[in-house]
Formats: sequence, structure tokens, C-alpha cells
Amino acid sequence: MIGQVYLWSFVAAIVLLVAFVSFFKYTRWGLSMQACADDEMAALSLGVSAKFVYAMAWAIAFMAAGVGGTLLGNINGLNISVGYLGLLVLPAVVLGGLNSVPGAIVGGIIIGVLQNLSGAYLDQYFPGGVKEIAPFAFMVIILLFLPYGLWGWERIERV
Amino acid sequence: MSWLPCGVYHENYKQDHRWWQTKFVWGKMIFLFLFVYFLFPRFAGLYWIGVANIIGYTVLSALGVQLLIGYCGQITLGHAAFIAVGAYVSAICMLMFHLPYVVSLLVAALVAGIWSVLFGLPSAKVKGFYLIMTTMAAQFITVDFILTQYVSRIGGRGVAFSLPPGTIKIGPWVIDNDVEVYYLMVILVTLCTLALANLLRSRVGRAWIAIRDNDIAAEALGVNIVKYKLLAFFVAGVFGGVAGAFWVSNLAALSPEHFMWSWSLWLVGVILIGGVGSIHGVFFGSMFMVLVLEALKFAIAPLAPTFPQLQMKFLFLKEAAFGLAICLFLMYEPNGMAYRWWQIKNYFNLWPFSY
Repeated sequence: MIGQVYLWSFVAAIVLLVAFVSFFKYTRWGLSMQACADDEMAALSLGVSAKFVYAMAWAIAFMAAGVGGTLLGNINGLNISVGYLGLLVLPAVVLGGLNSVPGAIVGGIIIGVLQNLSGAYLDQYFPGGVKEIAPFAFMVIILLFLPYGLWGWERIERV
Repeated sequence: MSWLPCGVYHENYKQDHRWWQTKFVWGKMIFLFLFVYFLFPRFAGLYWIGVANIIGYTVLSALGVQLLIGYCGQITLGHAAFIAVGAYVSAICMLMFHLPYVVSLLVAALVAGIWSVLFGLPSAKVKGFYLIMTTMAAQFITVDFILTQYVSRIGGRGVAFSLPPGTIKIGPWVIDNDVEVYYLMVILVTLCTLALANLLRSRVGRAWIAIRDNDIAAEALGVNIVKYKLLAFFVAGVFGGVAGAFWVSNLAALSPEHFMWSWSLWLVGVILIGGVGSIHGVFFGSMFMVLVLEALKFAIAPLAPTFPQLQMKFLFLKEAAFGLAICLFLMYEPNGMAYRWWQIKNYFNLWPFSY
């Protein structure tokens, strides 16, 4: 039996994800944001206002975080250490690759599964807080072999 | 680089490479030496000596961060981990193997350096944001997991790492009060600063600066960037280890709470305020952080009867003030206090034509 909270949170998350992906792919603002991320100079010369895009990026990122916090607060209840969950988000994003929305989803799932599996299986060998540390340890190992995560942009650098 | 006065002619490279080239600079340095080694510990009260010890600890810790961020371009948010490794290794060496303090300090520096190289390995492939993540991982894996869960439980919680007074001594010199710790701090800060400053103007330092400015161009010029990046991590870890081993002398008992992630962030803030890419910056930043917070403590003292919350929650007020200071510096003086110092010096060097 899955609780209603989980179900509706899941549905809300899926809806928001679809909204996010289509925002980045089809709207003018989303495209200008991607342009700025790729090459700020080129975007500026094409008439994108970088100032506006950055302000908007902060606003949207915090709105998304607020929605996430609402969903999470419904499930877990509230306490001050919710802030530390923000740190756990970073391995997920890095694993999926920056600048990739599907990467964030897949990375989040992989990190969540790895975390709970290592909590269950590794805890007998390394008692203590393996569960809290596992995402970071996996992230370091993954970055050694996949420097840009799964679907991050591989930048070709020129001098 | 600052301008020299008229009439200083160098005839060979040895003269050109000298640290202190004019009589004025020599006088300044001799005065500084006298002040730091004799006048200050003699005439400042115990309270200010304690404050100076905190400044010295911050300087020692921030030297490694300055090397990594300011000179090699490898952004690190986990330096407290290497300081913690240094502190724990030196404590273990002294308490369990009964090694002398100097030997355990060297062992601690070495182990912290190797530990730092381990977490610097991803820097061979990644940079920028991804590198920040791996150094953060170093912090959480080392301090929150290994040290908290395993190392600090050796011999029962809190038993093995309490340092009885008189444990720390160099030969017959017992370091057991603030004044002795002050002298130890001054000696270590002098040695580390000299080592780093000289390293930075050698072949190694030039390679680091080349990597900072553009790592691909550096590689094209024949700098082995993996080797030099790892060397930078090693040296930064060594400074971190020295800082940790020094801080042991100031503590009654060692615990992982002294080396939390916020301390890593604090160190990055120190070099941002002091000036990235400058050894002066480390000193200015450390002094600013510690002294401004002392000033804040005095400033809120008269307010305490009306607003008791201010004093009770001083820790949080401190962190807020720290964040505000970093924001203001990034907005109004992005080059830090060291740049302002450079400008002031040049104003007087070029006077009356300073414009």
C-alpha cells in the first residue's frame, strides 16, 4: 500500500518535470537561458539580455527548490536538517551531468538507489554513517571515469 | 610587484632576485620581526595573545587554500578535512606512539599531504564545478565519516584524544600556555610563509601559475599538468597538516567538531576577502576575519542589557557578519585587501606623481 502523499508527490514531480523540460526546449526564455549557459558572449551579441536571464535563472531555481521543499515537507515532516538534503542534490546533478534535465532525473534515481542499497549492504562492513556518505564516495569514483557525468556537455576547449 | 625608488641599480641577477631590496624594506622587516617575536608577546595581554593564536591558525590553514585556489586554480571546499587529518595524525603519534612533537608534526604533514593527493586525483580529469564537488566529498568522507565514526572512537569516546597538559613539548620546551603556543605559532607561520613564497617563485610555482591562467596553454608549453596539480594538492595538504598539528597544541581535547565544513568555507572566505593570488592576502584576510569579529563582540557588549539575544546568539551573528563581509568585498573590492595594500604602497612610492 503506497500512501497517498507519495503518490501525489510523485505525480506532481512528474508534471513539474515535463513543464521544466518543455520550458527549456520550447520557450523563448528557456532557449535564451541555454544560450547563455553555452556561450555568454555569443548570446549577448545575439541580443539576449544576460542580466535578465541570470536573474530569471535564480528565481526559477529557487521556485523549483521551494516546490521540492513543499513536497518533501509533506512526506518527511519539517526539521532544520532539511538544508543538508540540498548537499545530497549535488552528487545527483553531477552524476547525471550538468546542463541536462534528464541527467538530473536519472542521476537522482541512481544516487537514491545506490544510497539505500549501500545503507543496507555496506553498513555491516562499515558500521556508522555509510548511508550519508555513499553518494559522495560514488560521485568521486564516477567523476574519475566520466568527467562530465552521464549527459553533461563535453566542452571542447581552445586556447 | 611594486615600484622601486630611484637609485637602486642591480648589477647581477642575485641582487635582482633578493626579497628585500632597499634599506627601508629591511628596516620594515626588522621592525616586524621585533614586533612579532619580542614586543607583542611581552606587552600584549593574554587575551590578545589568544586572539593572535587564532589569527595564526587561520593563516596556516588558509595558506594551503591560497595555494590551491589563488595560485593553481583548483577550487577546494574541503580543506578542513586535511587540517583534521593533520590534527588527528599528530595526536595519535604523540599519544599512542609517544613520538616527539616535531616528529609527529612532520608525520602529520606528510600524511595530510598524501590524503590530499588522494582526493586531488580527480583534478587530473575534471575542473571547475566538478572539482568543487570532489573536494566537498573529501570533507564529508573524511570528517563526517572516517574521523567521526572510527578514528575518534579509538580507545573509547573522548578518552584517547584528550591531551593532558605537558604532552606537547619540543625538547625541554613545554608548550602548555597561550604564550608558548604563540611562539610556536609565530615560528611555524614564518617557516611556512617562507617555504610557500620561495616555492612560488621557483619552477614549480611558475608551473602552478601557468596552470591557473590557462591549463591547456600550460600543457602546450610542456608543463606536466597532472603532476603539478597533484603536487599543488600535496603541498596544500602539507600546510593543512601543519596547521592541524599546530592547533592540537591549543586544544585540551580533539574532536571532529573543530573541522566542520563551515571551516572550509570560512577559509575560502578568508582568501576572498584578503585577495586571491597573494600571500599578503592570507594575512590580511585572517586578521580581518578575526579582528572584525572581535570588534563586533565589543560593539554589541553595550547593547547586551537591552537585547540579550544578541549576545546569546553571537555565533549566528558572527556567521551573518561573515557572509555580509564576503558579499561586500566581492561587490566593492573584488581583488581583496591585498590589492588595496598594493595601491597604498604604490601611492607613496610614486609620490608626488601618483595618479
